[in-house]
Amino acid sequence: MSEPKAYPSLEENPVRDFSLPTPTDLTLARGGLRMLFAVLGVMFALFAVAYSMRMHMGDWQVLVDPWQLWLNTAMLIAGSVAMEIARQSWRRGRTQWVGPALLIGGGFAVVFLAGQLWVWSMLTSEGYLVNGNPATSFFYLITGLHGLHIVVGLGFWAYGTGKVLRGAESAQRAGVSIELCSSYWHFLLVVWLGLFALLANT
Amino acid sequence: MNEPQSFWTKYVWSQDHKVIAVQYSITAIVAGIVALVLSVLMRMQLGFPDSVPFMDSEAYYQAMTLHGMIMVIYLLTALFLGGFGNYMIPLMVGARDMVFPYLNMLSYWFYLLSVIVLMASFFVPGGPTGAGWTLYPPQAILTGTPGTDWGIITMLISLAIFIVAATMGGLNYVTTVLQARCRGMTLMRMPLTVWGIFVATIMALLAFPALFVSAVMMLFDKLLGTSFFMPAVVSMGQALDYDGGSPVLFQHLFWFFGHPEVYIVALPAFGIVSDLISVHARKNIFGFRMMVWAIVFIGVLSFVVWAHHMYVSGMNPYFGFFFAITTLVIAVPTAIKVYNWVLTLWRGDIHLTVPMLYAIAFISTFVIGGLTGLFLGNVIVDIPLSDTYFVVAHFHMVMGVSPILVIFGAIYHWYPKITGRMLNDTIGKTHFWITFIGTYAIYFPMHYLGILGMPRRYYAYENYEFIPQSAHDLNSFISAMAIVVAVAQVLYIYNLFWSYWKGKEAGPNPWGATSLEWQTPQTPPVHGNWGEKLPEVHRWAYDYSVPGYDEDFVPQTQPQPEDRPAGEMA
Amino acid sequence: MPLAIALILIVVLSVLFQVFTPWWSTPVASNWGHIDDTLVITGLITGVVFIAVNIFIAVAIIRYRHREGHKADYQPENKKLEWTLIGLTTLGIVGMLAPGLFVYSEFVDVPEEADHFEVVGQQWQWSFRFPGEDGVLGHADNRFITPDNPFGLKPDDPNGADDRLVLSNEVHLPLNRPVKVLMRSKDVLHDFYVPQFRAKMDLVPGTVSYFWFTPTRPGQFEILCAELCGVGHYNMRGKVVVETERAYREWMAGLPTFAKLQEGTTLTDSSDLSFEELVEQGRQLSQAQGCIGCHSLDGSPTPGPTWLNLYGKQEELADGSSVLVDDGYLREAIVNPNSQIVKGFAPMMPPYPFTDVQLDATVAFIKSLSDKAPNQEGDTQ
Ligand code: HEM
Ligand SMILES: [Cu+2]
Ligand SMILES: [Cu+2]
Repeated sequence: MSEPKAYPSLEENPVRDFSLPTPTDLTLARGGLRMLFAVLGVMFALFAVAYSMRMHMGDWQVLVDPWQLWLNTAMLIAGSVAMEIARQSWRRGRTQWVGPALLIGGGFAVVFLAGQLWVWSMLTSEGYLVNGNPATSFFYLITGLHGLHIVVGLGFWAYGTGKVLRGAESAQRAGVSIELCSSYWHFLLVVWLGLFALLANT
Repeated sequence: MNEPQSFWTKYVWSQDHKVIAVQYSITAIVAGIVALVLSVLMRMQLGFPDSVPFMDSEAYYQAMTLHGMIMVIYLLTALFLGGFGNYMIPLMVGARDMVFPYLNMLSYWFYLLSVIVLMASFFVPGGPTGAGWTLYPPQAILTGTPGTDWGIITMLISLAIFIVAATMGGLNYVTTVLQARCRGMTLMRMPLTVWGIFVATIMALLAFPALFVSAVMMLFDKLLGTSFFMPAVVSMGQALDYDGGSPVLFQHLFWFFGHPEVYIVALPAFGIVSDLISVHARKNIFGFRMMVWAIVFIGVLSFVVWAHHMYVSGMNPYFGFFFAITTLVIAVPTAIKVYNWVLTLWRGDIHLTVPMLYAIAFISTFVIGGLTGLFLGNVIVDIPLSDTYFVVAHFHMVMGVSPILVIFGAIYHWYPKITGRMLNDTIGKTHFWITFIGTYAIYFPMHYLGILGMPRRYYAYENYEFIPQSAHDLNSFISAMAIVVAVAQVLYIYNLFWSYWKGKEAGPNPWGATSLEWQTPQTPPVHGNWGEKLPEVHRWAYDYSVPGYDEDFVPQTQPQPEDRPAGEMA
Repeated sequence: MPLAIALILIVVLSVLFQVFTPWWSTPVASNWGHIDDTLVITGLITGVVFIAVNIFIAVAIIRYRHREGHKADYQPENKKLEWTLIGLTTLGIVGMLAPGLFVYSEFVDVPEEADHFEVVGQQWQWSFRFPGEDGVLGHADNRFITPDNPFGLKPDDPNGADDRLVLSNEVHLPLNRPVKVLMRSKDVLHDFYVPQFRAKMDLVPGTVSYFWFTPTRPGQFEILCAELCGVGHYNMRGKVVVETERAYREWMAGLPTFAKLQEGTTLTDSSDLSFEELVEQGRQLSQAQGCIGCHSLDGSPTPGPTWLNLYGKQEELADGSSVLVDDGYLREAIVNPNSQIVKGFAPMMPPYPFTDVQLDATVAFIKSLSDKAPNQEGDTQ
């Protein structure tokens, strides 16, 4: 049976059957998460575009970023590393490491959030208010939105970590949570690095 | 899968894509009826000024805004993606369900919430926003426009919720198409319906963030006093605290969403209508590969044409050259689609069933809408026409009437699969003729009012010298036709109900169609769709009237005969 | 079959409609006749496609509609035909785009010798500014706007002193002289649109937009607003008078300069003004403040109650009571507008923190519009 070239043959199209009701297949979840990253990526990119367009409107005053942001960035990196350790440990079957690494990864995210709030309160007390210069407005808007994504991530993290700590019966499900959480942590780290580069001293 | 289910888990908190699709569709249609009533109120005012007592200019602008927003977002987008996308994708690619059923259910509930918040804006102090569906600042949040406090806030919040819902749904549709196709269902064997919805979904996922970003920034301007979009203004004699912001920036963000949005509505309609034409002309769709590429090409290009909505916005006028060229380039793949539809009819065996009537009517109305788009895309021709009734006629033809005709045809076509019964042909034909001829009568002459120069978004046209009495009379005629068409929609709704109980039994495949949804073991399909074993696909979805077969269609599941090499397009 | 007939009828009727339509562009009154030409070219090319596609469908239906024993062809693609059609389409597109872009490049290219003037929009009225003898418009910005400086001219900019200001919605232009229209807005988006000139452009607060044209036909033309700007959008009217250079010069000479207007407005005490002077102050004030954007002076319906014969009238309020419109009522209605709402109107007027003198002037102006007002002399207190 000769198939014309333009169409992939049967063999190239693997069979996908999955059982209802809940898909546990990691590839599916990962495919969905990648799409989500694309969506969120576009969103943050558009904020960046709006930022750089607004920057040229004449009344822009550079906001000198507090040094604490560097510290917070370090926290976020540490969180990502911890999550990666959790993921690798899980994949290699070193289950005793998974719980602690997850906790540390989440902990760093919480510390990052606290650090961001610290920056906010400092800026506010110095008189940089959200309705002040647009550079400041954008700072609050963008960091706030990024923080909100971390908060949502922490929700899923708590759910997954809870399962691991309780010694989940469904090992595969915990695995999905760990995989997804660590990818999400990396994603938000990358987004943050981009935003930080944009916000830093402009 | 087969454990007993209560009414609540089966029809309300359901995770079955087919139930969710019906929920989405019913909610969207109800919202659409609200928008339809609003349009009749507007037409009353325009055709017979002051005939509706409470229709003052505030109420008019509120009706106009809600009408536009509901039609574009809450009806068409929700119905094509949430309704048809949900129902058709898993069935047409041979999956048991969407890959994330729980997320799918959440998507519907978020959508419902967004509709409720939107409808709530009718009841908040000051009423809904009257800023136009484009919600341009500064007027959207300054005095002088209705609903600049609660109205605009509920609108923006509702949109944000809708975007969350659409994203949850969209992730599902895309992942399902990419990962959950049955054995043998290569991408190039997917029916065009799936292709249209698939590409539209990707576009929605990438375009809605722009609306979200602009909504959030506008909320900040409104509630926290930032100046993202707000320059220094003196509103009604009072200097406000805003300074330095750019209203045009909002327009760029809005249209970066808004133009793709047009195609988010159009591409599913393109896909569906291709399938309707092919099935009812008993002929394969002409130039299938070109059709797929046209869909993809249109999808990509539509992200670089947005500023054709801004030719007179005060942006740098030199942008006009670039956007006029990109916009007219899109006409080429769009024209290909039209050619291939009509060439599919040629040498076909055209069954003039009711869905086919709608499909052919779609080609005709879409051609008008598409061609008038060439006026508006070509920057210099747009300058006299922009913001006139020419634009209103254009976008109603291209994204109002045309997709809605497809929806009518599509519901007619798939109703037997969804309910097991046929819709009533007599009612169907009556509805078709009134709607088709009526909308032509409404919108064809309307273009000329635009060429005359009558601006859109006008509550009244009293005492304008350049507008002759005959134009007012024409307006009355248009309004009368609009009311007839609006009332005729009752027929379709009635048909949906009547046939649900009294319609003729349909059987599994009343139209003799090849695609997978017609090959389910049960009609209507049960939860899980396929019984024990998933289907296996052996050919593309357009094997109609293949020489050497007795029947004039060969289902996708039918294996190629051993002794015969696969047909050219297998 | 009826569908085929319907499609053919649609084509025939559309063509007849196009030929006999009484609704077409207003006669052009500017140099942009070329825009009309591009419209006609586009109309011809698209018209051919419209007719061709509909007729093709009709013929297909007639020839290939289902009959017993009839079977469709199996013909998946036809590369040659598809590419031919793509080629033809491209040709058609180029045929529309090329002349279009050519005319557009004229449109964006303002001639050196063009005069310029400024259109200022606010809800829901127009005002205009001309550069004066020095030919240069003074710098202006919404941040400088005060009741005495409605255009927001920079007070110490020497270029602004001789700028001629038009505080009404009527502007005059000389015939056959290219002119660049500069546009600013005080509040929201508007769009300066005169159908007979073909060109239009949005007014965007915070920036100055522009286009240019040459008026080629003397006469009076209506100015419309073509960008939604709130509840009064449909009623944001103005007038352009195109006339000879001479008549235009005369009109211009009668306009106040910015410097002159500033002198006249240092108003501290109303008692030494005559009623007529007070009325004149009130007229200027209500134009500058935008009152007349919402309150018509001739009884025509507007977002706010008309001022014609308002004074002395029994006004019905939203709560069902009624009240006599007198000095006290009017002053309260200006300073604190939403304390009493007139029946049939929305509570949308912002409070205007006027001084006593300004209130006196405005009330006097409203009085002057009413035949029910008591004989005015002297009772302005
Ligand atoms: C019987 C059907 C319909 C009638 C009679 C109708 C009538 C109208 C009228 C009178 C306006 C206001 C025009 C103006 O004042 O400028 C309007 C605006 C609009 N309509 Fe429709 N319409 C219909 C269906 C639809 C559909 C199906 C759509 C879906 C795309 C739609 C989308 C819009 C949009 C986007 C606007 C612009 C709103 C704005 O200016 O902010 N309409 N329609
Ligand atoms: Cu567009
Ligand atoms: Cu306006």
